[in-house]
Amino acid sequence: MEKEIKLEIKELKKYYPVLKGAFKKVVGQVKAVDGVSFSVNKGETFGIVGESGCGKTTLGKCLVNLQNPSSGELLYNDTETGVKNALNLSKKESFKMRKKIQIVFQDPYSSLNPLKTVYSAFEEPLKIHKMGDKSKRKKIITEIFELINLKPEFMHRYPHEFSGGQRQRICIARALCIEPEIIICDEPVSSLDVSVQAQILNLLKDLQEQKELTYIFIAHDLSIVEYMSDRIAVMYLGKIVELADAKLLYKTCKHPYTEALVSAIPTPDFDKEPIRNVMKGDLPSPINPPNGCSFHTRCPLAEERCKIEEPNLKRVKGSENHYVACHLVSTVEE
Amino acid sequence: MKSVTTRSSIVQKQWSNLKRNRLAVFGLFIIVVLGLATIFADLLTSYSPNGVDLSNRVQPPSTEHFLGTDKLGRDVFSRVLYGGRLSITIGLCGALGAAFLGVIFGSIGGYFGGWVDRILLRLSEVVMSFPALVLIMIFIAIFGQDVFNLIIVFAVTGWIGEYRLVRGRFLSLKNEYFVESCRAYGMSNLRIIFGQILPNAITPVIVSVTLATALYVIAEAGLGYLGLGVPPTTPTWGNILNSAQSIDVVREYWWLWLFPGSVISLFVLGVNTFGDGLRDLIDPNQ
Repeated sequence: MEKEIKLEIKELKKYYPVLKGAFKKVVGQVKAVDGVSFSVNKGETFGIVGESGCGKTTLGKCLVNLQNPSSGELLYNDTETGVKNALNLSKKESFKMRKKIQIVFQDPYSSLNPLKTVYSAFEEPLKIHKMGDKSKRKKIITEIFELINLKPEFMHRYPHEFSGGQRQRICIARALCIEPEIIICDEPVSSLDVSVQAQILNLLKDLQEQKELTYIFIAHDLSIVEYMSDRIAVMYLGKIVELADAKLLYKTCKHPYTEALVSAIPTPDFDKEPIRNVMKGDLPSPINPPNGCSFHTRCPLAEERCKIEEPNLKRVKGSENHYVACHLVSTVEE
Repeated sequence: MKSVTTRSSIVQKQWSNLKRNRLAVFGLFIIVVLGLATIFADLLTSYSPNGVDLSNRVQPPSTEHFLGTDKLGRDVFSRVLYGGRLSITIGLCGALGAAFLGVIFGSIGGYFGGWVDRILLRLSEVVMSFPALVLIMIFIAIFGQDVFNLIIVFAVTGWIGEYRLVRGRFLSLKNEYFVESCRAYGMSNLRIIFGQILPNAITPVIVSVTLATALYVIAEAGLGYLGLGVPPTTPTWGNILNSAQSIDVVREYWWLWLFPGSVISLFVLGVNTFGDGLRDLIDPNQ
């Protein structure tokens, strides 16, 4: 099957200035996202994992233009007009772009305006993008309610009348109603309880099949990302440290950070003594990231070289879709 | 239909909560009675508020003149009613104007942040650093005595409270996910500010407007007493009190200041108790 690249990100960076004093002098930069590159194929789910503060959410917000990246390219392959860089578009074009990439946030409780009916939460985006007249819009909303297994007669209710799971379904449906091609899921289930999580994840999978959607799935829960994703990128301090097919990553992870993460997944097996690879120390500050490999302060295998030289993301020897940024793994120059 | 029932059920619940607060109901009762009395002044009295009758000067209260007459023989009862009409209008419009400015500045500053916010914040500090009454007197001296001018002056000097309330709410609400999702699908900033965030920030402003109305009614009375309010020929509560400046009037003709003064106090008391009740209802934290 020929894979069509839907979204390609090149060297994306998002720095926040650190200001000090009455005159707002710039004294440093928070490197939230520091040179991230990857591409996402049409119809796949691209997972991004990492501990909190590693820049996953900032990356997600950059992709939907809620944050302006400091530098880098975001190439979007539009089915109608071809590839374009989403970061330097005219106002009109970037408005059209918003219709193509949508986002679902982690907290369904604050994702809906408490004073607006759910119906108006759906109608506003449709109105803004001039989709259909009043009766057509109503039809679209009714259909989408059936799609997410909610009774259409609920649509005139207020958000507080729904449960968390229902609200997250509504948020997903709202993102879907303007027919985007890519959906960024920013920890869509982390604030829901486990029984509801499965429901939401399966809904996302069903919708992906029906509508040929492309997902970028951001989470910190590794087992959920494994279940959802085709390929996974592991982020640490604003950088991708390992990128591989989902199955491959969990079986043969190469980067010591990924190893530590994977060993932390609880296994439902009493006989097997879990081998825990516990990391020491805290996440270093992104204002002052360590020299060389940013993970060397916590890495059990760190050598002298790791403290000086920064590793790049390279393909692992003997493996086709496996990339890692570590000096200790034998990689192929490309 | 569903949405209508939800809305009205919320209103009903709030109303029954308000009814439990006796003081607030009492305040509302005073406001309504005084409000209606001033609106339907024509029906309650046959005297014109400016009808000079020199043969009946400074008469004490009688069956003919409920609250007596003033130095020009004008009926005090009629003047209190018609004067209240204007005083309450000035108070309410001043409060609404101030709230309007405060809401606009607060939402724009809070939402956009950056240099817009910094300029507005400094501006509010400048306005705040002058004593309000002095500022009002300066404005009146420059722009002249006029009902409209007075309302404008109240609005220009009084927007700080609402500005701070609204700005604070916007600062916290603009980072809510529902705002970000609106931005993500391309809603314009103005629609986000006034359609999405403002309805969530407006309730404390309602309380603030009621309390400010009382404040401005008093301010108008004070200015009128000093002869700086509305032109003295127009009856307002302040202008009626203006005639009680001399010690003779205070000593001999008590009806000239006692009745209008009591009505002002009663109205302000009503508005304040109602406003406090409203605040307890809307924002139990305070």
